[in-house]
Order: sequence, then structure tokens, then C-alpha cells
Amino acid sequence: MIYDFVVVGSGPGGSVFAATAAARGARVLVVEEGPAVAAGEVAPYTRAQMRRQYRNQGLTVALGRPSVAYTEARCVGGGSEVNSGLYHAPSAELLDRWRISHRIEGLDHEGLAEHVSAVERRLQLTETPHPSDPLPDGAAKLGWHGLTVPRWVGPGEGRRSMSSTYLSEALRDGAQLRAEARVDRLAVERGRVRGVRIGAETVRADRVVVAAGAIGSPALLQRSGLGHGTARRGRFANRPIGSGLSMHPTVKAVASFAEEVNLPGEVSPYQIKQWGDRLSLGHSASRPGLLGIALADNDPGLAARAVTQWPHLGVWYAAIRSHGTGWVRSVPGTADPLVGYRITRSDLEALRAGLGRLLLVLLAAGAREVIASVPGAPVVRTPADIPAAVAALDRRVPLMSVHLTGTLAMGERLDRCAVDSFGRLHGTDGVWVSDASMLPDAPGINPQGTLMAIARRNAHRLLEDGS
Amino acid sequence: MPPTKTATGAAPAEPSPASGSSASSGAERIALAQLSLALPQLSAVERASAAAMAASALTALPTPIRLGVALAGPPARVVLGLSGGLPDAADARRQRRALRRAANLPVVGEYLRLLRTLAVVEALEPDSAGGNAR
Repeated sequence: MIYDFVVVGSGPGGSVFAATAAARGARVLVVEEGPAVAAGEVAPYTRAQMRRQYRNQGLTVALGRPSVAYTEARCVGGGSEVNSGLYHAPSAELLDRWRISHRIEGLDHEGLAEHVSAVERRLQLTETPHPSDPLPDGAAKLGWHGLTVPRWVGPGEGRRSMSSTYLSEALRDGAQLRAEARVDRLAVERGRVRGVRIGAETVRADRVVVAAGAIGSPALLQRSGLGHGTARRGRFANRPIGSGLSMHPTVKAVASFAEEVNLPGEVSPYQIKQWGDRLSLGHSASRPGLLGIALADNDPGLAARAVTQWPHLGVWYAAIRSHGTGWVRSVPGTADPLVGYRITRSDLEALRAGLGRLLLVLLAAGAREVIASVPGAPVVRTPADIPAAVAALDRRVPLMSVHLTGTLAMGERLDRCAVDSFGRLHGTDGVWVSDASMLPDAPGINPQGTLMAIARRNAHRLLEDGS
Repeated sequence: MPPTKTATGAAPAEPSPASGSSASSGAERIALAQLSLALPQLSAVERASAAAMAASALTALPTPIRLGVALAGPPARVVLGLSGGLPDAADARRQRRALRRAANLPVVGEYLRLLRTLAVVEALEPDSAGGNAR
């Protein structure tokens, strides 16, 4: 059988494409490397979940100084199954910036509006505040602007993840799903992609949609010989595949309150975005194990507090829109790519500024003390302690990120863009990209809503005129 | 909900009286040394189990990183004075100083943090393999 489309990856980008194509009667196969995990089968934010639903059990890192730990889902439904479900619509300013910097045809707020609306309707967004997050009080006392971010999951609600929305619709409309199957490479014949290779098997398709994430997708193209010009034509031969990795590096702090603030299975949807897209402050998963990690990053001797004091402790973050950049390189003979990221000096300054503001707002919220996840930073009990804690942040700081983009950027600037304005790989026929790797850079907001709207836009374009 | 269960919920092996643990691999020894400093209130059995889980988790690392970890392990053990086995209680202060110094070393410092992170989370995380319980 020759499919109309093989979609590699079942996360938001792949599922939105699959649902759109299947609804129009296309023969679609979705191939997912990870397992299908039923809702409630593993507790959220635990090691058990990391083992089941994350790539390399969540032990992935972008090398650099400092290195940045990152996580990517690897399960049916992708990141939508494991994240906090926070939704931001893309702003006109963001779309304008991308359209101009990467020369993306037809990407503007007005044109994307119908896709944004469709995604919002399908996800049934709700605004459910966390019952014990003290951050809103702190922001109010400082006069800072914050918001309860809409999301597709909340306490006591069903999760409107891909497996219960777009992917289930695709399957209802005749698409097939093959889970726990790794696509080793694309089947390239005479310069055109004609299917995928799963072990010794070749699955044939008229078109392949790569949606394996910002690390997995460029690595797959590189493994297929499409990363270094070997099968790519002429002027496209050296275009960036796997360059341009962009992210939101994040520094964390643990705050201690007199009252109980910790619901270990919940993450607060409240964010402070007083400073536009350059800095976000918010709440992180705060299970005892995660508290122990965050405390030990300051001083290993502090981890013990997580055993007895965890109900009164929580983890909060400061995330920046980085000016740095990174890369993904497949390594011959190994299953996993090598990833690197360069944090710039201005990033470090932004992280210091963000950490200082985070410490300040947590104190304003009533924290008795705040411990930055920065090696050797003094415990903060009053605003006068903040400068010394901020000054301790240097290139030894442990950073992490969950928002990875930019490794197959979209647009018509061939020095920057691996795919065209609608996701088609420059220079090779038969392959499209539909995941966060095509977003030109880290958007300064949780990117999944933006990605899904753009994936829907690109799918409609491909299905309507085949290009 | 004091998180005192091991990550697997299984009963760990009894530690050897001589060493204070059943740790065998170099990574386990390093993880155990770090847990002794980070979570001294846990029993030796709990620490040994968490250290073993942390060491076994290294096999999940991306292949290129796993190769780097294999290279970083021996110098880390030398720096921490763990080449010949675990230190006794009198060495705790020296151990703490060595860990603090080693944390600033390139590669070795990152390796130590990785192992500590895994060991701490394995030690503190309640059994969460099933159900959506908090």
C-alpha cells in the first residue's frame, strides 16, 4: 500500500496535520516512536512518567557553558500528554517579527486568525487558577502584571491532549497509528522522499511529514542524508538543517511559606509577563523529588528539606527568550544526536535580572525564605539579600528548557531557513515539516498553541494545492 | 506524605556491613557518597537502592552523552577519593570538600551533578508507577 501521507511523530504538529488530512479522505499513517500511555496510567511529573513518556527518560542535555538540560516527550500525543497545557495565542508582533526576519510568505495575524480560532475551539480552553499559588499575591503587591494562562488541562478536567482531540479525530477518519515504531531514515530515491524506513521495512508514501520535534526532526533528516547536501539539490545543498536551535533557558528557585502551598501533581497556570516576551515568571512542578533537585543545586545539604518540609515549599522559574543559538548533529553509528547551545553574555544578564525579579516577587508573596537553584547563592530572606544571590549566577548555573524551536526554520531566506513558508523542505521533493522546529525562534510564550495554528495553516495549504 | 519508599517500591538488598552499602559500580559509589551528604536521614538501605537506580538510569542517556559519562567517571572517582571504595564516617568532611571542589571542574562537575540529580530524585520520589495519586 502507498499512503498519501506518512506522518513521523504524533505530537501537536503531527496530529493536527494528520487530522486535517484524514478529514479530507487522505490515506494517512502516523508513526510514533513512543508508547501509547492511557490517562492516569502514570502520575504527572514523576520519574515513572519520565521513564515512560520522555525521550531518553528526560535525561537530555544541550552541551555548552553552561549546558542546558531539556526534555522532549516521546509518546503517542507527544508533549501535549505531559506538559501543563498552557496556551498562548501568537501576537501580531511575534508573527510580524518572524515574517520579516525569515521572509515568511503570508504569515500574519489576520491570515492566521481562523486557524488560531479553530485550535482554541478544539482544545476547549479553560482558565482555572491554582488554589494555593502565592505568586499572584506577590505580583499584586508589586503592581506587576500577571495572568492566569488558559489551558487544555486543569484540576478535575479531562486533558484535551492530542490523543483525545486531533489524533483521535484522525483515527476516526481512517488514519492509522503505528506506535513504538522508530523511523530510522527517510526513503530517498533520486532526490525525492518516497517513504520511511522502519528497521528493514520500507513504508511507501507520496509525501512524508516530519513531526518528530525540534531535536528529532533535524536528526532524522540528517540521518537520511538530507542534512549535508548529499541528496539535496544545487543551491539548497548547504541550507541549515539542525542549526538555529532556540529555546527559553530557565533558572529556578525554591520558596518556603508558612502555609501549605504545594499540590505535587499540579502546576499553577499563573505567569507574570510584565516585561513582554523577554522574561516570564511562573510556577514549576514541585514534587518532593523535584524540590530536592532544585535545593541540591544550591547546596546538596539543603535537599533534606524536601523530605519534611515539602508541603510548604514550591519551585518557581524565571524563563528568558534567549539570544543564544544551538545545533543538532546526528552522530554516525549512534541512535541519538548530539545537541549544543551557546548561552550569550546578554542571556546571563537577562537570567540574573529574571532571577532577581523572581526572588523579589516571592518575598512579596510572603515567602519566609527563597533559595535560588544557583550553586552557592545565599539564602534570601529580605530584599537586601537579593543582590548577593543574583551575583552568584555565573556559567556554572544549572539551566533547563522545555521549549525548543528553530532547527528547521520556515521562510524564504535560504541562509536561515530549511523549509519554505508552508513547511516544505527546501530542495527536496516529497517532504514537509510540521513541528516546533519550523518556528523561527523561541517565541517568548508557551509555543504549542502557535505551532498548532501554523501546522493547521500549512496543512490546509498542502491539501488545497499540493505545495 | 514523607517520600521514604524506594522508587521501585521493591525491597532493596541489605547493605554489606563492611562498606555500609552494596554499591558495586563506580557510578553507584559516587551517587551513594553524594546521597550520604544530601540526605543523611535516609537509611543506608534506602540510599543504596537510590544510588543503584541512579547508576542504572545512566543507560538511558543519549548515546553521545553516555560516552562522555564513561570518560568522566574514572577521574571523578579519583578526585573524590573513591577509587578504593567508600570512605568511612571520619572522611565525611574531606568528602564534602572534595565534592564542592569537583563541582567546579568541567565535565566532571556536570557528571557529578547528573548523578546527584538522579540519586536525589530516586530517593525522594514516592512510588508513583501507577495511578494519578498526588
